[in-house]
Amino acid sequence: MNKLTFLARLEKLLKGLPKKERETHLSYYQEMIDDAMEDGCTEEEAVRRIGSPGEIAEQILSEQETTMKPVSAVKKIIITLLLIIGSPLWGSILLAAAALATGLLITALMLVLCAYIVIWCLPVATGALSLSCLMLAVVSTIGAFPIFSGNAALGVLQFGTGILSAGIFILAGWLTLFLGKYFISVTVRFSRWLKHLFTRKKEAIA
Amino acid sequence: MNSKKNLLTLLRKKALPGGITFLAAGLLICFIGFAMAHFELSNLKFPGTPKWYLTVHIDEGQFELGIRVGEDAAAIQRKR
Repeated sequence: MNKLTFLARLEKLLKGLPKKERETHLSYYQEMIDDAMEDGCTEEEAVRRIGSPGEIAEQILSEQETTMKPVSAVKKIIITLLLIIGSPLWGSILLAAAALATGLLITALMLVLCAYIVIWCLPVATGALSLSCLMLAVVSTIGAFPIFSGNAALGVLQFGTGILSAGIFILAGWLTLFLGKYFISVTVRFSRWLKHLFTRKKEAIA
Repeated sequence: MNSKKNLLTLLRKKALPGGITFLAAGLLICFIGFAMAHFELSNLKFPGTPKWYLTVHIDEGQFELGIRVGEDAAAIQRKR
């Protein structure tokens, strides 16, 4: 094993330590290897003389654990008391944060809902127009015949209105089908984008 | 299944020219009706009580299209 591999493995094993401390240990072992090489050892020999990175890391980490003082019972009680006394402060902050998070979540959900409504607004409008024109066409065309006897001009006008409404019904229906197809693909793409947004965030957190 | 699909494709293809034809025919018939009334709105009033199937409404010189049912129809009848 050469010097660089040794140092890289040691660095990986000491990842749990603070950066400054880790760098101190690494520079210490680097110097040790350099000293051994100056004394006439080859790189591999110098590394072998120091020991395996696993053993060294284990030793460093065990020393670290022993230097960490255990928290005394008195200290624990004081911390608990402080937490209880300070609860009106941190509790209210915690509640406010929870309320804020809930509000943000609801806002986000509403925004998503609004986006879907905006997407489907146009085909729904053309669909409603188509349906209302169908009703008008049926009533106007059939209803025009009894009106002929009362006022012929009005009957013809109503019949014309019925045919006109039938035309609008066909065109609006065609437009609804066309827009519906297009907006289905838009909705699928939007949903995929939303899903991708959340999965990407999850991956980043992981 | 295939013939159903063919029919749908045919309908979709014919929808645009069909719709435009209906629109044009409807406009022409409306024009004829209006010409029959000598282009006077007052000549297009319905004699007697308005029926639910009357969709062309002329009230006080105002032209309105639609089906009047329930409260709407009753109010107009009272007005008359």
